[in-house]
Amino acid sequence: MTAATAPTDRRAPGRPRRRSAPRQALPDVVWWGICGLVAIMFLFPLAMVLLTVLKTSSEAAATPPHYLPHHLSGQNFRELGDADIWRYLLNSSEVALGTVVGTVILATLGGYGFARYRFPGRSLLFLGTLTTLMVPFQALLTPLYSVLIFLDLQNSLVGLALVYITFQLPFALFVMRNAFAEIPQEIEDASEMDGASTLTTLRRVMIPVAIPAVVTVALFAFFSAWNEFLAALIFLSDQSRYTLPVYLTTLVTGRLGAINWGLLEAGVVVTIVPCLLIFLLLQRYYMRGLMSGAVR
Amino acid sequence: MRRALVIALLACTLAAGCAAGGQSSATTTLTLWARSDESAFISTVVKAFNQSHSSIHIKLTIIPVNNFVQKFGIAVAGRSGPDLASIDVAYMPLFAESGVLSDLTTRAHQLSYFDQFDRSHINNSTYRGRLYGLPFSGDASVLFYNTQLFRAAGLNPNQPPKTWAQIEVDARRVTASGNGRTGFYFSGDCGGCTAFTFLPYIWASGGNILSGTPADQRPTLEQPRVAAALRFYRTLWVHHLVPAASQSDSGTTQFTPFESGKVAMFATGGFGVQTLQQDAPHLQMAATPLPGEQGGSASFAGGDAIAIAKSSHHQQAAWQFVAWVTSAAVQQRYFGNVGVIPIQRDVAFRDYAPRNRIYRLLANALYTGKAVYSVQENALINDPTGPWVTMIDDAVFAGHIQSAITQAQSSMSSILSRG
Amino acid sequence: MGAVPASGRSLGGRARPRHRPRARTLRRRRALIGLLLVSPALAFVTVFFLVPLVLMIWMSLHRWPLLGHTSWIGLGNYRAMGSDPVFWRSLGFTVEYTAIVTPILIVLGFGLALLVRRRRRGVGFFRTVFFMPYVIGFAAASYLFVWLLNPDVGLLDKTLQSLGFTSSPVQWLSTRTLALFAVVLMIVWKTVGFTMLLFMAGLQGIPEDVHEAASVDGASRWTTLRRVTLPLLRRTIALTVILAVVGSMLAFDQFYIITNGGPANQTLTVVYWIYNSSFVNFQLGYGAAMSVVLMLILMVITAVQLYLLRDQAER
Repeated sequence: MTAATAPTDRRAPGRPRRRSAPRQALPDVVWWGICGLVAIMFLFPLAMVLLTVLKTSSEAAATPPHYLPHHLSGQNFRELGDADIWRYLLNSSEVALGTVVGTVILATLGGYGFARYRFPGRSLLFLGTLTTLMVPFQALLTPLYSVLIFLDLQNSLVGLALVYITFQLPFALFVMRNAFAEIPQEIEDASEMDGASTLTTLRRVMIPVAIPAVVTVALFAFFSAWNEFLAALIFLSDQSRYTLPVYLTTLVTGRLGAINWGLLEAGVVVTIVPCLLIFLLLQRYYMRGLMSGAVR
Repeated sequence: MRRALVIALLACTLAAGCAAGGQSSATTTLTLWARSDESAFISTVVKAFNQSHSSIHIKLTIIPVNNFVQKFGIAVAGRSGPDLASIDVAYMPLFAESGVLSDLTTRAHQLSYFDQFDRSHINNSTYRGRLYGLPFSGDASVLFYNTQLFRAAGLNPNQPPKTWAQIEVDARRVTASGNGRTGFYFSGDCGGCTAFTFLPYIWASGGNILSGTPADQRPTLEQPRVAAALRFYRTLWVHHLVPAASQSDSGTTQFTPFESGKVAMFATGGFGVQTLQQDAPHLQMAATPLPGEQGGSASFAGGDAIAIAKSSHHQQAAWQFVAWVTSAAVQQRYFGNVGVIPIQRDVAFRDYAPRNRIYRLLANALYTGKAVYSVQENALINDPTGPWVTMIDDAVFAGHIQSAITQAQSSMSSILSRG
Repeated sequence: MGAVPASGRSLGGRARPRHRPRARTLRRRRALIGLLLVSPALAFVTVFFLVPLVLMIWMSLHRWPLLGHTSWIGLGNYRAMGSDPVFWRSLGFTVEYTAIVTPILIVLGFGLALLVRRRRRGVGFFRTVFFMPYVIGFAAASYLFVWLLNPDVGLLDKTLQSLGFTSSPVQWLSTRTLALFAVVLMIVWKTVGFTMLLFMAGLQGIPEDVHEAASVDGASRWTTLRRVTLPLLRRTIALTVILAVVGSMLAFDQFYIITNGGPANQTLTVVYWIYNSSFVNFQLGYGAAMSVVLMLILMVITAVQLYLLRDQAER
């Protein structure tokens, strides 16, 4: 991204100067105070839900509620285990893993092709792929559903992963192409001189250099597949194939309309904890990916 | 390398797909989907069938009632539906038309008791002269009233209202008797509930909301009986003869006001009786047909049909279950005995009706009842965003009767014209 | 940001000795390999994007029930949209929701970015905390707030009461305004970190000496912000606006889960109505027609914003 030069409204020199460079605008105390307050507001929902799921289910449903559990209890998670949470964790993991692997493979091959090879229609095809971003997949759900039925992939985790891969591709291709384009030509040439095949060059030489981009692409694919709700809601009709977000909907319809709050929020925790952990571990890649994608 | 990866990807996904399958034995396992309203009796029925049939095993799946059409439709469209389904008769035209259900015409007519079936049920399961489902469970709407409140208000509990005007008068009397009592209740934000309990007022007065053949249907909301019925409800609402909770009741709390013993009149059906007797066993209640404006009566004939999915690989076994569950003995034992109106006329009137006056009334209501026959029933009536629910809200609670009707008329036409 | 693709520079073959026939074969071979490399990705885009795109337009011209037979009705579905009050109401509501959410996200996101853009002790921690909710899915976040907002068991009301803001539990989902507020609260919590990140990237792109110069010239901090920083950030602002607008126009999960479209369907969004039409009422043709309209609306919004952006840059 290039910050275009803008009219900067320069004033004539010689005006009375203020004390120069007070850029560290806020005094430490004020800054910590503000940030701390905002941070508390941001952490409040997460902290509260983490505490609540450790209550017994009757305590979690108490009116009025209290902040801290009186007794630490694994009851909600045990009940969640009885409600087959493993199956849905597995479903979500399969879809997320499939999406990650598929996206990384397709985007690596495609990104390499677009970055390093000249073929007829190259820029047109690349731009065409990028315009996919212009059409949100929410708008395509109805026909996509018909396509999946035609391919016999409706109500299938494979079909869901294929859809997720497709809608990850524009961003992933963009990131991978840029990553490959930045690698000096000499490195690649040297490998080819040694008589290495295209794929060997890609695997031995190119990918190792582009690993940060691969991680970025993988992270994006993971988060979107793990969290996606609407497509999963429509494309999966068999409860045994639900992914976690859709499974949560079944926890709400409790018997006689009474929601088992502890159970529902335990389900929420199981759904969000993997995301939070992965984010905290790999946040550098993720944030960098977002920013580089953002400043295209 | 790439091939290896692709194979790995496919293998990993295939493994996921196959993990679900894998069962084989001598008995045929059939899946049956039913809506959650039926959970009270259907598991007993299925258990009885499984115990008496060694070669067929029915696996029952209960689907939340609000998602049933959607779940079933999407599943059969994706060829992953069940073998058998117990479907609300209101939705039978939709599924019969769509060609996903097995044609049962020939086999049904061979049943010795075919002529015993409720005609309204048979009608709703028929599309272009072919029958796609058999009656399974019956339900019909009547007006319940709290005899204790009637007495307390100086009304004769043996003389229930026979016209709209009488309902209004009685409701005023009960409301005036104080103690937070109100005369009347209905779920104002629930399409299914109001179709079941409000439509009969229109029918009983000679009106209707749809006309034409199923393939070329038109709404007829602009005929005067519809406006009159809305005005009737509007009057009850304006004069506070209905608890305020009515406006936002989407059906989830429909029984609470009447159960509390503070509401004098409330229309519901056989399912409602079970619920009321369970939740409020001491409630003293009686029932009367839903009247027309100047007299006469009508009821909504509801309940479920049992159908076989065309995609089922076990047509014969599935038919065995259908024939068993519709037979007189089973209808008597597992339906009539637990308060569900049997769908065979003789069973209903010989075994079920004589038990008490409410059952007799319900049986009469079912066998003289009507239903809505439309492929778009869900979009027209049940959809909480649909024209029927919106019309009742605008007319009864906001008071814009004419504009509500005009808008509903145009939006129902729109629904029937599009696809 | 160094993300500029160096197209052309890296394409092989140019600097090599010109043995004509050999070079041509080589070039052909490389073209073939290139096509092979991109073809799997293109195949996916074709099957799961282009085909559905064309099919969507085709379906929108038909009566297309989920089950059963399809029949051509020309523009019937588009005409029906005109007399479908639910469609117009949902469109109006979605636009309103977008108009509320977008400025909040921009202002708060920018504020947070100003707060944490510089290296400072503890800044990494706060950045992480502000951004963290973004990685939680809409569905899970919605269910988290369903509980948090519940007047009986949720802790938000208790906290508001103990801080003295309210005196009794608030029925958050009882009116349209409160329900909308509840959803906006959740969305801001969940996504403002992302807006913050975009602004941080934008702020980093502004050379430090621009600010130096302004402050040397005696401009107050506010003036610097208004006359120097914001104009330089217009690309970022445009980008955040586009992302926020498109995201809000497509809102579904949060309303499906938190408000269920209620009370009395006053919080029904366009995607929610498309979902209902297609997969509850089974009118796939009508759902497709509304999808076409939604897609066109979004393309127009994006195009207009890009055009305005370009216009400003040229001035």
